[in-house]
Amino acid sequence: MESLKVFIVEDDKLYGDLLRYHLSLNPDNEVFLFNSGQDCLDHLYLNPDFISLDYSLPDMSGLDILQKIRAYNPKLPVVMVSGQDDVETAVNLLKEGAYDYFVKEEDTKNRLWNALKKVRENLELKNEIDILKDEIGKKYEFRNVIKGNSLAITQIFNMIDKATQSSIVISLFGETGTGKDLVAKAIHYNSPRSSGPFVPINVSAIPGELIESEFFGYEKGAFTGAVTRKKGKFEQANKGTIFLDEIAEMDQNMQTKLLRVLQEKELTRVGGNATIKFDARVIVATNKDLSEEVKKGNFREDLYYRLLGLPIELPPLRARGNDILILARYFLDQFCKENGLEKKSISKAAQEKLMHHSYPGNVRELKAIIDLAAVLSNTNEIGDTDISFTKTSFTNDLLNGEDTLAGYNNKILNHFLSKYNRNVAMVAEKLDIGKSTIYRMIKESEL
Amino acid sequence: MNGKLYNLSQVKLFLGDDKQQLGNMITIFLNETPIMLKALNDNCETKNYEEVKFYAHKLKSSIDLFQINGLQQDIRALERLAVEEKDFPSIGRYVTGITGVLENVMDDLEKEV
Repeated sequence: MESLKVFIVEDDKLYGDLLRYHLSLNPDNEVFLFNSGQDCLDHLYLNPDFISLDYSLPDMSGLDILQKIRAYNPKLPVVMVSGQDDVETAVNLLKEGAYDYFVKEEDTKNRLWNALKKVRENLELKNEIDILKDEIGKKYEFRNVIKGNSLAITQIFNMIDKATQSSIVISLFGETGTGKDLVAKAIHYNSPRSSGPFVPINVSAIPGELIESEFFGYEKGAFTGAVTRKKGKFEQANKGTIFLDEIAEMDQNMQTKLLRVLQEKELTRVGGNATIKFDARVIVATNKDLSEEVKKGNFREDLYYRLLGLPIELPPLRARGNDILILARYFLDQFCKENGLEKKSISKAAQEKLMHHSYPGNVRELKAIIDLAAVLSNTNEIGDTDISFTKTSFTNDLLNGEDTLAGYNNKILNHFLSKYNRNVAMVAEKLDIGKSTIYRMIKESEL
Repeated sequence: MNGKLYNLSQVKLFLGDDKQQLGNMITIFLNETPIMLKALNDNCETKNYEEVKFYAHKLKSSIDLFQINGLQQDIRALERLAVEEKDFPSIGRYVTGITGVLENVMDDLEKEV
């Protein structure tokens, strides 16, 4: 850490010199001595890290100087040093933001020394946090996070760029596995809110009866088990970003509450009466077509428009052309590095195979395929036989080999029945055919 | 008891064995104290008790640092009386007494430099 700039403001030359001498014993302290309050204020541009301020100066009161210093930099620790042990004065100064209050006595130098030590430790900690935040920011520099140079992804980069310039609500759409959560993080960590928290919340993962308290917090005693007050995710995200993933899964009752909170920019904790202001940027994501959900009556129209903001549609991997190979090489390098394997390449045949797959699971699926290929490969080159698509990649199975129309119909029906736990009504709705047709097909093909 | 009116142990606590710095501190004391004493006496004469209080307060830390025998209570009493702005005869007596002791202390300290 750089040296600590210490201001001593003391009109008693003897005492000031003693303090300067004592604090300069630590070579990491750069000590400046000022004999008047004005002299200190005139030098604040040097950005001191710590000020020892005599309460009784000839040109202005200690309180006046403290207030002026705090107006300049409210976080600057100022220790008041006084010849009087006056509790009332001490309390007032501490209320005004003084870091501490010392009476000039035998122990003053040690107390100052310790206060400086504490300030140094806090600054070191703050520096570490700044470095970590910086690293996180770099980690989510969006061109590092989202790999590719296809036209589709370049357009996404442009949209993200726009999204970082303001606090407009962002709605992310796209199939599962297209990287909506990564884009949300990239927007947050590249925006002016990057020093605030990023609070992700998966709406579908929270049971309906808990969602309000998770979102808005609760007061002690609000319900059985609420033994302490708890801040909700919106309060936690203050000055930062809240990311509501799978927003389409939110029930209507909660949609109404969320709409009110977003309109008023204030909330009330469960079991509480006080309204609490919050300032969080909202990013929502869904793999459903929200406008369709509105038409079906599953999603409130007014909330839809409140959340639409800047919509970003993330392209499926199959629409990203050569990005598939860029991502595949990236995932392969990453996997080899993480697992201490030698760097591997991807053969032409394997590349061909990768390029012709439809990736219903998108980037997530590609990563799983590459990780498996890296494990299966016995050489430094991934061959086409090392590339295996999972059984869940339905479209691949469907088009693998030739079949009759009836055969394809049966495969499709079978896939939907297993996907929706043999809920015939649901499958009928999804395939837009009658339930009786499904029952007939099941009977005929013994599915 | 070494008979001295002052005790340098407190200053040495700050400075350790640094004799040169000790000399510097004594020099500052010898330069600053007469200025403060003059201001104290002048303001006492003109009954400007606000300033008497101010200089008493300033002298207090030097008196404490050099642990000047007997003056640590007197300087506080003077400061208190000046704040209260009463018992003017006592204020004058304290100022005279403190001035006398400090002049003796300065005479002795000059020999230490």
